[in-house]
Amino acid sequence: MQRLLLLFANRPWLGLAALLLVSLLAATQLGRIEVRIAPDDMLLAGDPQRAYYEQVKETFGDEQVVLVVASDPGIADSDRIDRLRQADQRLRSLPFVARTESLFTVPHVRSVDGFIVDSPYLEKTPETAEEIDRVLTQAAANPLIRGLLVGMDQRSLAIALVLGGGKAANDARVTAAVDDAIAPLREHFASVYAVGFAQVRDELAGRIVAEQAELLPWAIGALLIALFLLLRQVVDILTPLVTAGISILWTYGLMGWLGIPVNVVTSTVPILLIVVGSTEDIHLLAEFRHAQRRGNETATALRAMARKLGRTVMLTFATTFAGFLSVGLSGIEVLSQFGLVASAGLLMNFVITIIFIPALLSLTGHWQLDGRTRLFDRRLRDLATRYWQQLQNHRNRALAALGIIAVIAAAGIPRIDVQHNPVASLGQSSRVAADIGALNEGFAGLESFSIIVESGIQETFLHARYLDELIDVQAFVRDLDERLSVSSFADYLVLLNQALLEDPAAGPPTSNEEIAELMLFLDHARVSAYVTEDFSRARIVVRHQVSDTARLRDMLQRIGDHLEQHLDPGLDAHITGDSMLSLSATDSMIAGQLQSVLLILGLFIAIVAFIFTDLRVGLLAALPNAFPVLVLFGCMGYAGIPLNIGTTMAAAIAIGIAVDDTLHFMLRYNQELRASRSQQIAMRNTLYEEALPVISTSSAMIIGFLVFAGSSFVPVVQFGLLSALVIATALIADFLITPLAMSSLRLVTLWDLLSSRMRQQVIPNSPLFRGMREWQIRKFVLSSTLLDFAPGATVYRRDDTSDALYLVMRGTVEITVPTQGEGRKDPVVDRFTAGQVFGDVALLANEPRKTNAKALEPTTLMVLTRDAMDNVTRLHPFIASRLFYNLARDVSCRWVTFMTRVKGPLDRDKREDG
Amino acid sequence: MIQAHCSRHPWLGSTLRCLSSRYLGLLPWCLAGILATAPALASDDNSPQFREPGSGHRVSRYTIELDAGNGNALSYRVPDDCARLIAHLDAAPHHWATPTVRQAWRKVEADCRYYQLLHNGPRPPLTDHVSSFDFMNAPLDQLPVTVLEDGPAAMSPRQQPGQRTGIVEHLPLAKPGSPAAGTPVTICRLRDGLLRGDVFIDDGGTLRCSKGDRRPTLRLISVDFADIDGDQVTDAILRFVFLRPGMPRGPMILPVTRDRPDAAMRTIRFQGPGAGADTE
Repeated sequence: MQRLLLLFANRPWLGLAALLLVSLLAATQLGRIEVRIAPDDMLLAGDPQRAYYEQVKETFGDEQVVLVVASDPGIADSDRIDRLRQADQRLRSLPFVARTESLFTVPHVRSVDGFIVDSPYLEKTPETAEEIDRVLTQAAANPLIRGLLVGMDQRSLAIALVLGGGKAANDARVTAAVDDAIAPLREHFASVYAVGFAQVRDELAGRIVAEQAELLPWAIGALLIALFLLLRQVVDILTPLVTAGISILWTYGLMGWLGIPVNVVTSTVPILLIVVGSTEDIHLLAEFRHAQRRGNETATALRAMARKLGRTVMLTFATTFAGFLSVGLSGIEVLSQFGLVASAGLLMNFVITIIFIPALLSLTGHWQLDGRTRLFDRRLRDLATRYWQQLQNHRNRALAALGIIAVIAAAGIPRIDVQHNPVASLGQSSRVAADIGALNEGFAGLESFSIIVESGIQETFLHARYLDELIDVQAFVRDLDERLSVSSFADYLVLLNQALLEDPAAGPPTSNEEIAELMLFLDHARVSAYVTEDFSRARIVVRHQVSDTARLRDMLQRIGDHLEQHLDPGLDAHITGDSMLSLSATDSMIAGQLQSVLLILGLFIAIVAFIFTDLRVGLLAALPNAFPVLVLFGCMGYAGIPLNIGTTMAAAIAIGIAVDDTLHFMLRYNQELRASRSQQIAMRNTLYEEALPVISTSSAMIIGFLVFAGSSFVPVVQFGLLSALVIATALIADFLITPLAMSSLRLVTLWDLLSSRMRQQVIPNSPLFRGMREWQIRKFVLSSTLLDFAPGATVYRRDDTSDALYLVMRGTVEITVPTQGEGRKDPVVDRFTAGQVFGDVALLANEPRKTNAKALEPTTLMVLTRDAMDNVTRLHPFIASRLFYNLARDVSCRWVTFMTRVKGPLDRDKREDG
Repeated sequence: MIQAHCSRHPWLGSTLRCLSSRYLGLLPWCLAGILATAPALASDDNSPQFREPGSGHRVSRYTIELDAGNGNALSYRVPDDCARLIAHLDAAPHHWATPTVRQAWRKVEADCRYYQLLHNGPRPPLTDHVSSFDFMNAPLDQLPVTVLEDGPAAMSPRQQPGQRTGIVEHLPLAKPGSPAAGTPVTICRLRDGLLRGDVFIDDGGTLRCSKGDRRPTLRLISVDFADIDGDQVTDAILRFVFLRPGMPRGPMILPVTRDRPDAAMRTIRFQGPGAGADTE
């Protein structure tokens, strides 16, 4: 990363030319971008239930419907009915309308003189209000249209427009044409509206386009304020905006190229790129200016920036990228598209940043700072020092306060609701949402699900026994909620039976013969939405207005349980439909939320554990970031903010961003500690160096996320507010938990403390580590300790317990055999210098020391205790086997050397004796 | 399973109906049917009305495709193809795969046999004492009625072996027992072809209907006139359907006649289309 940063610092024009070229390419794709709202995109891609539902729709039909509703207390008026009939005719003539269903068109099955008549309910307009009321009452008694075409109070009538006529039309055209067609009704009815998913999508698309223009300037303004507070340099302030602008251009180019539409969720990406993408810019610019303030020239300051932040920006980018990408792992199409677009945008932003910033700074970095920034700088150093002292003094109180907050937040988590309804995203102020609310008041509702009952045997549902099963299931569902509209093939048979028996109170046929007789007069086209042509498969359609996901889940669960316990064993039942798929998507959303947060925290722990070669450090470092997650979910629970398509992204994205600050803190602390070897100084310097960039970037992001509060989409507003909350909480946690956690850990490892000469010359050349890889040596070294000895200091004495072996890192150790006589000099057995191992023989023999060992000069020994060796043997058997092989070889070599040394005098004695 | 195409009488109604949007797809069939049957309709003064399969509409002609087993289907136009259909049925015993298929064949067979019944005797009849009688609003006791002790099941003409035409000798009514104390009763009379309320028999043997319970009980769906027994006296052929749940819906055919304008209606002991008939 350092090399990359320096590459473009040294060749600025090359980098800028590359950016320009790619930007031109991206610009060519902008024309292909489209705003598209597809209801299926809110569902789980690859969901087996979805495939089943598609099959059901293929079998029973699926038609897009727009409902035109006219309500008036005096609807039983022939003039109003005529006007509604004219509207029906106008709507039917629209090119995109396949047909209309209303009391002017749907058959009223009845008996006249013993023959069946099925002319529409309002084939002719009745002349009196009483007659109209009678027709409305008859229609309301028909379960197939009650709550669908006739309002529950019989003061509203609906015309269902079945779309899919010869000419396909976009949502805007459908909405406009339908509005025109019903406009003449408005002055004659108390309420007239058209509502359907075409209207919902049209409103969503319109608002997305409007909000792109409205919110972007606010986001840019928020970033400018934050940048001004930190950087005070025109070039520096504009730089993040330029990188964000190029990133947005590239991202839109990619969306155009891949055909990914702008929708409610992907429309947030540009603002996110402005807010989130600027953080690395700020850190790099701050580091560069920091180096300049120390008196460095531009080139030196750039090198310092690359050296100090190269690895950090890479790692922080990785965690943020993972946060966005983890949202893309969701099976829900819009979230998947968002994850792909946002993570790709962030990657491009990162590439642009590491090209543009070094290039720009190498050209303009020599511009001088103003005095105010320096003043600010001095104040900050004092502030950092005082803050760290205060934090240490009140350590326990701070931790206790955070603990209490965490417990309170955790208690709020079970209160979280789930809401996965596109209509809910429109908010209270939406006209379409208001219309849907009105529709739900008077009608069965727009939502639906189906219960598919099947046997695989022809004519199953022409048997009274199985028809009764359908009727039982319908009765059970109706009992759950009286406002539900539940209809099936059985209802049509009841209507037919009533017509043939001329008795409106007649029930369903009770014998196979009766059903067969009714079937003589049944046109399958009338019931094709409810039963297959071979009568082996039936559908019970349930229309409802349950927008609360928990309630819907409970209802479907109860129906599922009922089917499992009470349905005839010869029948299979499945619940399917938009509501079911929506629930499936909700489950995936919840699982995805958990998965994303765990993934980010896991990645963060892995990165930190790798850097510091200690899992405990990783786990402790996760604390400041787990805390905001707790607070987030707690707030959602207490504030009644549901888990929805927007809020489900908040935790993962915000945590992906928040861990960056922790990483900045820890890596900076690590650098400072290695330099100063004093935790106090290191922490003070860390707070001083990182406070401003961290606070500035966090503030920019908080303000940036708060910009989303201006959105008219409820999930986007909630996403913005919650993300801002997470960033704010993470900021507090980073200044409270992170310093305290870091100061309690040995973040500078033995490996770090070893000088580079020791690491590069002594260790690889030591016989103890022969044939071992660096990470294996590192593992071994990390389980050791270092001891320093002054000249003449004793390492061990004879008869001491042998509990360690020693590797000489520097200096010399002399091994002597103690003699009994006073004043006699102990004979020297051996001397060990850098890289050599001693003390191993007695250790392995498990015998007390037979010799004395003392340092001859300032000596540093690496000590590996018996316990540490046992641990290495147990946890890393491959490393241990290599270690013991090396030890055995070393001892053997020393034995050979010793024998050679002893053999000379012995031979001489022998010759003298001889 | 069953495909029926409309062809109605009279001409105007048929044409308008067939031009309605619902039947636009069937327009070629309808036009062909209307053109093909126009001469027959024009000359046929005794065309019965049928419930069209698939819709239950009142029609004088319909086309149906019937499942003949083994994946085969036979198409008939009723009543024009009735002779072919009856011949097919009489040629060999048939076992239908499902109740629905059986019901379809039965219905078409019944329609055809009814049509044959109407065209059984010579025409035109010489004497007519029945067409002036208002059957649609007749008191029940002016018709030949039998009160069955065995309850509703016995009322199905199909319970009689070999009886596939629905022709009955008396209008069978179940004996429901005595009305509950205080139940208001009235004379049993058809109103526009519809009889409402439960039927009772008082101590004098007179039929009485409950006034409180006005549920439909019986529907006289058609009255056709023909000399079915060949005695050159016009007979009235009444088709009734029961309107109570659990009762057979196939029409009961009650042929009645009388020798004098003021005489009571009597049934015709009829052996079947083509056979002679005795009167009681």
